[in-house]
Amino acid sequence: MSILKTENLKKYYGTSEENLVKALDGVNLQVEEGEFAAIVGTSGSGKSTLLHMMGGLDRATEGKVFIGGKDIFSMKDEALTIFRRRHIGFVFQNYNLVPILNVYENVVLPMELDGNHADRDWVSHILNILGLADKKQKMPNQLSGGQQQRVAIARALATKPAIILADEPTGNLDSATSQDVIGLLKTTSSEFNQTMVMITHNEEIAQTADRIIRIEDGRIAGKAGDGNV
Amino acid sequence: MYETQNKKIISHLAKSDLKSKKMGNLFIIITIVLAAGILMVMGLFPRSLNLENRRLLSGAQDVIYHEVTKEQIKALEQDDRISYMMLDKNGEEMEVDDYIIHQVYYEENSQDIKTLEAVEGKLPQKMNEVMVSREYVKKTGKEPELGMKIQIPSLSGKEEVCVVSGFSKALENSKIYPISRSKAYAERGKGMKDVDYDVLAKIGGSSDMSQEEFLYTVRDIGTKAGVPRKQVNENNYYVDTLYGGLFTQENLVIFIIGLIILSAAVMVIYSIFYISITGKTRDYGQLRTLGMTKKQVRSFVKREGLLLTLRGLPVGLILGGLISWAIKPMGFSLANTAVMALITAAIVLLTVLVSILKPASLAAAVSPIEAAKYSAYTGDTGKKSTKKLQRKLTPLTLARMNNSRNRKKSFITSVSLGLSGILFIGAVTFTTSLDMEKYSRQGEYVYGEFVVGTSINAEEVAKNGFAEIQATANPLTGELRQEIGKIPGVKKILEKQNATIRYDYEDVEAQEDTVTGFSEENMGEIKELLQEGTADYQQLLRGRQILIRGNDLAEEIFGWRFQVGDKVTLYYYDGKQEDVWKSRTYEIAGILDHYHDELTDGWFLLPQQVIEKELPQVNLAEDWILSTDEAQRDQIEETLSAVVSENAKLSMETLREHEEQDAKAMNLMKAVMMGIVLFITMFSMINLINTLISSFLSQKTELAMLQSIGMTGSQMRSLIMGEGALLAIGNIAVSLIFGSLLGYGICSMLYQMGMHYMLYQFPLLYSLLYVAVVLLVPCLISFIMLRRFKNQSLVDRLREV
Repeated sequence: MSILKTENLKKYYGTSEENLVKALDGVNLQVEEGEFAAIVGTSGSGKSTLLHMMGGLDRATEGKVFIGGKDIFSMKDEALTIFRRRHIGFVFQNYNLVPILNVYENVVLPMELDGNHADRDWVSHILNILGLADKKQKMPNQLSGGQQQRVAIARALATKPAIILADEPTGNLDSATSQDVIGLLKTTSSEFNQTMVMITHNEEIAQTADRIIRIEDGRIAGKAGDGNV
Repeated sequence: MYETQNKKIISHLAKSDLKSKKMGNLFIIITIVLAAGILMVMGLFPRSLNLENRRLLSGAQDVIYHEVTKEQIKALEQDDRISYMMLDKNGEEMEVDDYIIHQVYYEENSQDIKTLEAVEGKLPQKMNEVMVSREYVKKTGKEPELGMKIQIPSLSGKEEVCVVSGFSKALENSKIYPISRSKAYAERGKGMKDVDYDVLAKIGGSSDMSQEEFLYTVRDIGTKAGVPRKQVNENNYYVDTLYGGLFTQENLVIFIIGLIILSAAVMVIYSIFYISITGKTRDYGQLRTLGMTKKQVRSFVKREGLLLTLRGLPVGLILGGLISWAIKPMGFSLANTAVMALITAAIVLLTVLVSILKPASLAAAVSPIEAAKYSAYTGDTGKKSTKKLQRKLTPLTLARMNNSRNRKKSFITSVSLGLSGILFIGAVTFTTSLDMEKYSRQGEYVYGEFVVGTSINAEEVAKNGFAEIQATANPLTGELRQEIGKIPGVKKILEKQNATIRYDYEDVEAQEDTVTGFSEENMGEIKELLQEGTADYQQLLRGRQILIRGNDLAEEIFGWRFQVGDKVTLYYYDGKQEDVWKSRTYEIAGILDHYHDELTDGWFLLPQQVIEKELPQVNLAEDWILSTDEAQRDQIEETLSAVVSENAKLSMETLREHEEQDAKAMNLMKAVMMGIVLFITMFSMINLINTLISSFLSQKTELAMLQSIGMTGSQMRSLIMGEGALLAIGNIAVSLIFGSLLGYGICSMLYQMGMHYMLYQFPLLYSLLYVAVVLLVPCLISFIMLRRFKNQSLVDRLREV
């Protein structure tokens, strides 16, 4: 069963004919529950835009995104935000940690914003797996890049989301640390039966995925003339 | 060559960098404009005021030598320190209906000393010619026309027919209508021939003298010409415009106000530059990576600051000049303005340079890589780890953590905001605490709302002055008192009693004054107020000793003080024998600073019994002060003025008239004060807005990130408004606490100085207004910023790291 589906997804920038940029131009895509998909493509191919659309961070010019059968663009902004923090976990290239909060607080923030108290045992379990058990009270600027990305992963996992969307999570890391982080992502997502969609530049990392989706000029590259996968 | 090219590039870079960041720069420019403007206005105001007074007084005399003899006039003419002099005579003053006519003679009307000018026709020449105002003729019920004949009433009851030779302008806002006489009349006319001339004089080079020098000069001229000190009347307004020394109270006040405003300006300029430069540290880091040296970064930052200053400064200087001109057009001087503009420019430039210095060296000091990473967002939190595993995480607690992130910035902003808040609350405390009713109720009006007394006509016609009226024909009779007491709404009539006497002391001979009575009950108070000597009631009852009050005033007028142990001679007039005054000599036993100032006019205090013994059957009433029911005052005024107008010897004054006059004067002062305060408040608002906007912009990505992990719009609103509100609440607390302390301090200081109408009152309305504005501004800014955020997609904002 597909947990994530896009239907003829389009994102155009610019208004007039001359400066119209088609970032996404009719993407049809399905991701199965528990699948690990890698999106690859050159700079400007539209892969980040696709990820943002799938996560409901941005709205499409045309087309739909279904998560667990729900049309997310039919929701109002406020509802979409709440849906996002409950069902989707994001991992960004530049970690996006809140500098004034310690590691533990960064991890539990989405839950606290939802008005829930975090399950301490669960959070500790995640932090143990990610090797951050002794860093709970440290501030982000005291951590290395790899450690910061692991905090970001812990945050994405903490709410037990159905889907994890990762935008070049290893982009700022050296290759050894990259392997480390990807390994952890795979381990945790399979342990918690989570679906993962990850953008990467790194062919080596892409090869570890269940499936590779290639994007070119805002379309899925595959069979000629067909945007479907 | 290389060096100059370098400079060109830096200057070019600075200019194009400024173009790219319009908003922040606008705030800096506005701040510079306001700072320069307010410094100009504050710097120019005291000088303009002085100059205005001087210009207004340029046609007035420096000094009057009163009642001089022919010999004294000659002596004065020969004193070459007098640059210009002319003669005048003041004839009788008389109340007619609701106005007063005053017979005068002026030798001439000149540029040096302006007197009455003939706006039509000419000055009177012949014995029976007069010059009056058109308004006066209309008052008498006739059509004004040159050469017409008018009847001039006199106190003797006879009317005199005169020819109008010219018309003068009526005095503004005055009940007095001068009737200008000819020289012929002044010399031989019945109403003036027995009156002595006054000399109006200008002193050469007096405008460069200090107050002390000037007073010495005019008094010395008098002494040399044989004019006694008490007949030398210097123009006090003019003296006030002269240099009184560096450490006068007035200069001190101006200096303190200037210092406060200057420090507020410095704070705001520093704060705005600090925020702007730290916000751009990344850009400077980028320039460093591209190969700019530390020195070049520093001069780049300085140049940016100076370019902005140079854009704002001229506008501020012109604005300040214009405002100064608008406030005091008569006091405007191009030279003063130019000097002040130079001083202001120097202060502002210096402030800007100092404000830039620290952040510029900060920007230059960081390594290129570090600087490139630096932003207010990733900036050092100052903490390595937290004590608690998890603190409370709500939008509001996040806001608090955010505010404490950059303590220095918050501190600078809070101080500059707080300072203007303190000034605002302090100033409004002053205006609220100034009890206008109490202010108008100084003197006799402490005890009531209407004062009934004798008219000046009665005094003028009595040969022995007010003493004769009291002894023989005091209109304030028991009968009348009963009649007034019956007017509905009159609660109480307080009788002010002073006996009019004449006295000899030092160089003063037969000077008219009053002696006030007291009883044994007052002795406690008298002993408390005693400054020198003794006050023994039994001794005083014997009629050999006397008490003195108000020695400071005596020194100001006569140049000497009453001394304990000296003898003073008093002359009493009991009216039993016409024109005969009987003398009594007393020894000065004690001297008091004050004593019942509202009801006491003269220097002398004696037991009531002693006075009554000297003046048996004399009606000592001077005034009646009526305390009345507020609701019935209009009716009382009507009835009372009917009673008063029936008897020509009576006159009345009302609290209402006083209040109207005082309100006019006070409103102007309040307006000026509020103007300055509003200016400063505007200044700090700019600072607040700038702080908020720059903090939002620096947090833009961070907020987007919070949104991406699930912060809703309303949570973000609470976060942003929370930050603003926290800043505002701190500011409100500081402003209210220290502003109230300042206001209270000023009030009690002025109260101590004898301004008993300054009663501390918390300015509730203004405080609420202030709180509302200070809370509303962050909310409004948050609202606008959120709107702007919404226009940009979340993804775009996320990218801007």
